[in-house]
Amino acid sequence: MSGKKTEGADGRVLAALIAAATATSVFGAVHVRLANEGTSGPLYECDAAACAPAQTDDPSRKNLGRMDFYVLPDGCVALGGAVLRPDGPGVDVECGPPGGTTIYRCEAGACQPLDPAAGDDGAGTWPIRLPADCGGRIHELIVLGVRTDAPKVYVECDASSGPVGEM
Amino acid sequence: MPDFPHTRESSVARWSNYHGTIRDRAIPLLLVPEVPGEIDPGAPPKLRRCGEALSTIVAHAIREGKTLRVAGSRWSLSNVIEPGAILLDSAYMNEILRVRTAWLTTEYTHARSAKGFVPIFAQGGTTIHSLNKALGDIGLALRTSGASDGQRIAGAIATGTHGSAIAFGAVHDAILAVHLVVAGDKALFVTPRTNPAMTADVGDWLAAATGIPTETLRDDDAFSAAQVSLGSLGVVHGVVLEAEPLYGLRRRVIPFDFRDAGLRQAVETLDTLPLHPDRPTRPFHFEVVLSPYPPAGGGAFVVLMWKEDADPPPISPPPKDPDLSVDLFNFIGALGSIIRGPEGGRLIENLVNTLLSQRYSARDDAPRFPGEIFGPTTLPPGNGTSTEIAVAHEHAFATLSAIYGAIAAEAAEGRHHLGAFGLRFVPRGQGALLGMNQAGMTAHIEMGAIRSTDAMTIFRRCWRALDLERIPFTCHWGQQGGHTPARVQRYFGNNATKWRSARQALLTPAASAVFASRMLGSAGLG
Repeated sequence: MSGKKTEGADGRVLAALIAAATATSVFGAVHVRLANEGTSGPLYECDAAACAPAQTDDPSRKNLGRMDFYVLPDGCVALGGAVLRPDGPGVDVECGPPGGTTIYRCEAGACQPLDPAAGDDGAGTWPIRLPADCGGRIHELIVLGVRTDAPKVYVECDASSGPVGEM
Repeated sequence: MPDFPHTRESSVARWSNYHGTIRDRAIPLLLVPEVPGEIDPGAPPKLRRCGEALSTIVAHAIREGKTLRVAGSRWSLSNVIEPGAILLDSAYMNEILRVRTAWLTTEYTHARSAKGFVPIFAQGGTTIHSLNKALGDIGLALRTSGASDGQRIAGAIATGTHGSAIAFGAVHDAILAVHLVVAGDKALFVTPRTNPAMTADVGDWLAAATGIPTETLRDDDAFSAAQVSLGSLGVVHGVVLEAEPLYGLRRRVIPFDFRDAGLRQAVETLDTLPLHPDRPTRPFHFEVVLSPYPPAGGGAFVVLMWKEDADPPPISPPPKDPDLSVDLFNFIGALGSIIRGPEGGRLIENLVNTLLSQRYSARDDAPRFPGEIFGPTTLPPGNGTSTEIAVAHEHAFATLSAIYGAIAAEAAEGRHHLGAFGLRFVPRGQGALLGMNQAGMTAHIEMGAIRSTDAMTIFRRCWRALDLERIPFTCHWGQQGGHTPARVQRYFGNNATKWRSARQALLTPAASAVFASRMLGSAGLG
């Protein structure tokens, strides 16, 4: 019986270690993933100059170790722009059409509205280009290597259906 | 190469499916109709644009003799989703429309509409997530779904996706008609001949809306074949599915001793009432999660759901962070293959049991909508594997006994199943020819796991064990399968023959080659 208990304890220890290892903030994130309530659409790879259909499409990019995950605020599917802040690390996202509505700062595990009056010179930030093909509707942004000179950006368009229509 | 209208053309160097069982495939031609940024202001309406795109794509594939597969959400683990020379991404084929009441048959109106059931047309790329949201907004719901909501409707039914709705059936059993594009200039609106829900007006409307000449085909075998098509009967432009009045689901999880006599009786009789005496009503959903290495006094978790009213408005749940990172899963998978000794084996077994106990602790949740209960997946992409064995319910215990025997034998040789088993029950519905729910009641044993080098060895031993016991079984079309011609024939019998005949009747030889897949060959269905 005691042997059994020891084995069970070993399993619990291992499970606890696994849980601890997934707490990415302990080590600091090197990748960032942001997603909203929409639906996965086509995938693009973007650099500072342009976006193109992704040449590597491997869904495991969504779930790498040391990846911070953010759920964008409700309704933030139309994305006007996004800026990577490598130092945080984090991403500022503009929800709504370009020049429009609200900017959120996604950092340290949460997305919070950003007070425009707070002032931000944008130093050290890196604008994330969004694919024109998405028509302004984005489902997911993934930035790999946020602290590197050339982070890799994957953008999934949103392919949500509209409301039920009539034939 | 034609100019594919309203379509983004590209290629992909390395394409993988969700769970990583198909990796780094080159796709010479990836076609995405309806890319939002590409639509001209003066373009025709959406269904016409989709029709023009599909017509050109299918005509091109047939003319050039190139295989054409349609990508769903690529959750399938089997080779049913291996991309061909051309991969069509249906993401934006996602329109949802209510069928006009005037186009329903009198019989349907009296028997079904009167009870609140509503036929809804959905384009093939529409996700379960979008359907849950859009239907919920007008007070409707899907009749059933899989465990989560990322699948596109055409892919979900093509592979026989199901839940554990013990009084209903699988997702394909809610389908009333299928709009199949079988040539560049021909589509079929396939409905059952027996008790059709709609008049020919719907097919005529689709012909006018898409611009693809559409024949309404009332044929029981063709319809039953199209319900579970394996993606090989043409391009599913859309389906008409039956929605029902919106409901809530109250979920309860009850941990059990794997060897509990009451649990065994509930699985045998599907009478769960003794398991929940405080709630003397039959549940909508009955499922048992089992440890492959049940510890004394535990190892089983009963999941029950009852339909109830739910008050809050339907919501559209956001994605969830997967349970564990792909790196860690890869590590565990690698570790599982290295640890061979008895002590290490016991450690792995205890780890599996600890994680299961954490995930399936006792709970009794307030009612929530189906779109929330069966919401975004938490399964980590990239390193999963699973097989699901379907047998007639009467063989459930013999099957479990054979599987546990195989698992124990594998463990003795140092190979472990790094996951759990899900036991679900699905009654026969409308009689889809390749639906896994062939029997009056079918038991499905899903064996999901972290992918390791041992996983397929374990699965094969389980399949062989069932062969030795002479238990007719099939595997889920969308999961790792031992689909051999002999097993398919033994399980599906004449229905497999009927499916092949229906395919020959629906497609020309040239189209048949275009929509073929490796799975058809390995399952003896080509």
